[in-house]
Amino acid sequence: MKGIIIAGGTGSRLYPVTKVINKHLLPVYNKPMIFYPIKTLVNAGLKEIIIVSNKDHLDSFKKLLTDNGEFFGINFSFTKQKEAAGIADALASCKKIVKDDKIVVVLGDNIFADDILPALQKFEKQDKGAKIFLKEVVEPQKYGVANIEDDKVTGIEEKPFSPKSNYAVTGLYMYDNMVWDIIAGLQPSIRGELEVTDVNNYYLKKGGLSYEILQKDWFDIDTFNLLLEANLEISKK
Amino acid sequence: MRGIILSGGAATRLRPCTKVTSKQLLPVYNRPMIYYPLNTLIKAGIKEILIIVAPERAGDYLNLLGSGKEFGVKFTYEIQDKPAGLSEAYIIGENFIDQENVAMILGDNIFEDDFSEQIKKFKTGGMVFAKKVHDPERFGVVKFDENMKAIEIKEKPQEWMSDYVLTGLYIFDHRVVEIAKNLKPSERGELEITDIHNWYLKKGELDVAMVDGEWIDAGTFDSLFEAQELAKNKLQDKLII
Repeated sequence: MKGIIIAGGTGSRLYPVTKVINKHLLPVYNKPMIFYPIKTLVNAGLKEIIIVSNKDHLDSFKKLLTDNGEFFGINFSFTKQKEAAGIADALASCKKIVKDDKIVVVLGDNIFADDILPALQKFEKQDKGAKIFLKEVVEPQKYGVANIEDDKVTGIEEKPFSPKSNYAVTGLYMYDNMVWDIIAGLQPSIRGELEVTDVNNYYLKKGGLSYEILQKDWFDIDTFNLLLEANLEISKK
Repeated sequence: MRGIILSGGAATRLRPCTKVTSKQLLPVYNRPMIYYPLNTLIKAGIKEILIIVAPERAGDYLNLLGSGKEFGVKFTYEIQDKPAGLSEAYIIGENFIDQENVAMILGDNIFEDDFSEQIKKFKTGGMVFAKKVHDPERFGVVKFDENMKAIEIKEKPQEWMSDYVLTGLYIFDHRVVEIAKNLKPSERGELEITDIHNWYLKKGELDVAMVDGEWIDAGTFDSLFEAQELAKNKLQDKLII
C-alpha cells in the first residue's frame, strides 16, 4: 500500500497568513501541520508516501521532508496538482507512482489521534472497493454526512440541511486500484472541481464501500480558531 | 520618527517549522507574527518603516507586505546577511534613519500595551521598556535603585541582579547610528543592544518606562502558543492592520 497526502489549495480562509506559507506548513504546536497526517501513515507501517501540492509550494515540502530524521526510512515522492481542480484531480497526479497498489489518502489539514493500523490491515484483506472513516460530531451539517443502515453506508450527503446521522466523513480514505478509472470518468461539480465525495459515492453504488468509526480526536483545520484549538490539544500531549 | 522591524535570524528553536519559512511569518492566531509589531509602529503614526530580513526569506516578506501602500505607510527593506547582534540594525539602517529619531521593534515581540503616546512625545536620548519576568537570565536585565531609577543594564547576567528585563522596543535619537558603528563585538561575537543602552544610561539620557500589559517574546513553541492566546483573547479589537 502507498500513502498519499493532499497538501495543495490556496488556504484562503487563513489569509493573510497563507499568502506566503502553504497552509499545511503552518505550525500545529511544535510541528508543521503536514507532519501529523504523515505520522498517521508512518505509524500504520507505510514506507512510501506521495505529497501532492501546487507548484509554488512543492519545493518547500521537498526541503522539509528530504533527509528528515523524523521520518527516517520513508520514501517521499512529490507531485504537482493543477490549480483548484479538486481533491480527486490532485489524486490523479499520483497514478504513475502508485501503479497497481492500494492507496491510503489523507488530507494534509486533517489530524487524527486514532491508530489506523487495524483498519489498514482489514482493508488489505478486503478484496476490492474503498473504506472511509467517520467521526461522530456535534454539527454534522458542516460536513459530508454518512447515512448508516444495517451496518452499511447507504448514502453520503454534502453539508445536508437536515443530517440523517451525526457521522461526518473525515479526510482519510482507502481505495483499490479502480480509483483511477473512477476519477477518469468523473464530471466536475458545480464549483468546477473533481470531488472526492463523488469517488466515494461511486464505490457506494458499486457496493464496495466499508467504513470505520474513529474513537479519538479529529481536527479538520480550516479556520484560525480550529488551528488554535488543535495547538491547544496537541500541546497537552 | 522612523520605524525599524528587525526580522532576521534563523530561529533554530522553532525547527522544523522554520526550516522553510521565517519565524516572524508564522501565524500568531489570525495574523503573521510581524503584523503585531507593525501594528505598534503604525498606530503610533510612523509612516516610514524599515524591515530588516534574512536573505533567503526576503521574497516572502516582499510578497506578504509589499510597498506598504495597503497599510498607508512606506516600507523599505534591507538584508541582514547573517545575524550579528541587534545593534547591527542601526548600521544597516544608517541611510534610512538619517537625522531622524527611530523606534525599533523586534519582529517576534508582541505587546498588549499601546506605545503611541511615548513614541509621539519622544524628543531626544533613549527610551526603553522594562517588564518584570520570572526568567530574567534569558534577557537584558535592568537594575533599579530605590527610586526606580535605572542604574545598571547587563545582557543575560549569570548572577541574579533584578527581575526586570528590557523588552524588544527601543526608541533612540539619530546618534544611535554612530554609537552602533563604534561598538565592539561582545564575547559571543555580537553587537549588543545592551551596549547602546549603557551608552545612553551613562549620559543620563536613558528613560526606562514600564510595560503594564502582557509582553511575549515568541521564540519558543510554548511562548508562540501563549502569544496566540493573547492575540485571540486580548488583541483583536486593538489591531489596525
